[in-house]
Amino acid sequence: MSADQDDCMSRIEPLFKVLHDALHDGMGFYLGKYSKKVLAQHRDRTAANCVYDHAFHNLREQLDGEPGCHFLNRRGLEVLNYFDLALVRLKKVNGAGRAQNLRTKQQRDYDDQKSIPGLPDAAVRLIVGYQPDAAFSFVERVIVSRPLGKTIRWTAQIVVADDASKWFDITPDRLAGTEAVDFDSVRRRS
Amino acid sequence: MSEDRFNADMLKLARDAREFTQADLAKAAGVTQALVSKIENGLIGQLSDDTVEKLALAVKFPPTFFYQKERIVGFPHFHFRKRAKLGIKATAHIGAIINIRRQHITKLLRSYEIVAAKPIPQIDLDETGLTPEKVAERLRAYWMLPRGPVVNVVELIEAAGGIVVLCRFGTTLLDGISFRAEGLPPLFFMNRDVPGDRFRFSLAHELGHMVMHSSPDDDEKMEDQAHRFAAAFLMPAGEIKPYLVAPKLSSLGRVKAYWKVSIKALIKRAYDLKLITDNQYRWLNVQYNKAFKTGEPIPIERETPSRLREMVQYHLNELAYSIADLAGLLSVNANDLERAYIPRPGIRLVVSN
Repeated sequence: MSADQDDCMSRIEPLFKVLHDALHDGMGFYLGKYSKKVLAQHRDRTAANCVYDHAFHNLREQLDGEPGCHFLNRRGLEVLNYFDLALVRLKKVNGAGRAQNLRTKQQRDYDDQKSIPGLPDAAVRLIVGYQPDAAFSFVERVIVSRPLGKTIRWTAQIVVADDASKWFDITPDRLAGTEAVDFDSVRRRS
Repeated sequence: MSEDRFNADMLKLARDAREFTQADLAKAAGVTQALVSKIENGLIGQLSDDTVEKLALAVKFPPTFFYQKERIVGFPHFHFRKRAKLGIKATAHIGAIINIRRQHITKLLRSYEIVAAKPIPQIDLDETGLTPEKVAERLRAYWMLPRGPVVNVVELIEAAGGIVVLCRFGTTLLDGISFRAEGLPPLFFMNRDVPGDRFRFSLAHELGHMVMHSSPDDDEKMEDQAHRFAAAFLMPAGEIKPYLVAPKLSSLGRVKAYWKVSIKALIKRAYDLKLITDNQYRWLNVQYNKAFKTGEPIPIERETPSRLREMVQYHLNELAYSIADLAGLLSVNANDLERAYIPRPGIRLVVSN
């Protein structure tokens, strides 16, 4: 656990349950409400898009109009801005908390924690993702990740039980001595 | 007792059904193993009522069970390979189950008629020159099945006059046995302790045997044909192909839920239909084994047969048999009869072995 992770997770702590439920319910709605035939015809990309839309809709329903919650859309990049403290983007992620993205400049800037017109500079850019099981039949984990270029600085898992929510550091171990290199995303790209 | 000669085969059958060794039975009945052995080998023809009573109590069958003039049937010819894997004790147990159930069906059918508009056909591959895939296609057409997944394999078979019986085989090495016996409709004895998707595939496999294999042939060849039939019957090439383009485990889960076949079967089907390369097939299997060590997700509900239950209900409701009457007819204890054939609300049906 790093000081940065501790700080970022504490910024969005009040949202843990809403985020967790939005993603779980999004997956549940997708698998439960569409006909089996339609689901069978969906490719993974479509499935992920549908879950995303339902999850994001859930999030909007829960938080739109709540103090400090603003939904922003900058050229297709949809995020929840929470008190200018954190920007939350929903994604499907793998076990390492990594999401697949089209590497546009805007996307790279988001991942590199850089300034993007219309988004508050002070807010940390986070990805809150759902990790499906191998057969895409349920959500295994809800993972918060702090992107850094093409890699991940840290990941945390949100766990909700009996209305109490917690987070755990699940950052994969890095090779000793590479931590600093990982952080230097600018140098990595140059 | 209408039949008065003790049938040693029935004692062996009862013992196998309860998974007793001769020593177990002797101990439970309070007799010597020597006596049990001699009875089973036909060295003692007539037994005292007291001995019969003791044996009956031990194996939990009524004494009338031993006086039935039944001929025991062996495994059908297309199950040699499976039987080799099973072991003697398990084979004997399963053999006892199917024989006892077959006897019940025979007795119930004396007063119950099965009418099937389109019975299960028999198609000889050598005579017709058809492939198993073509036979599956023809059967789907004959039964006028709509395009897409087979909704319920059990219903189809029972509508065609077959009888599907759920059994506890006590092993997962054998999924099902099917055979045609004289004077009886095609019988399918299916292991109830397998997942629903596997149950459907195995039942379709057995259907393939019933349609294509009326005379003995090379066991491996028949198994392969039945497997190909089942795959084509449940996943017709022209219809499944669009669902198997560039398959991944993550997409096959949804395909499984719709087609009601296992992810494993879908991977194999994709390979057989040449939709994936050898390497892709290997890679998918590696991923599969890694991801689903403890079993596949997305459970498919196991189909439930109804014909046998209807036959029992017909005796109880239409022919005014009491439970005791029916137990007497079938030579079983009333408790076993109720547990096997008369489900009560909220109580799980347990099939007596």
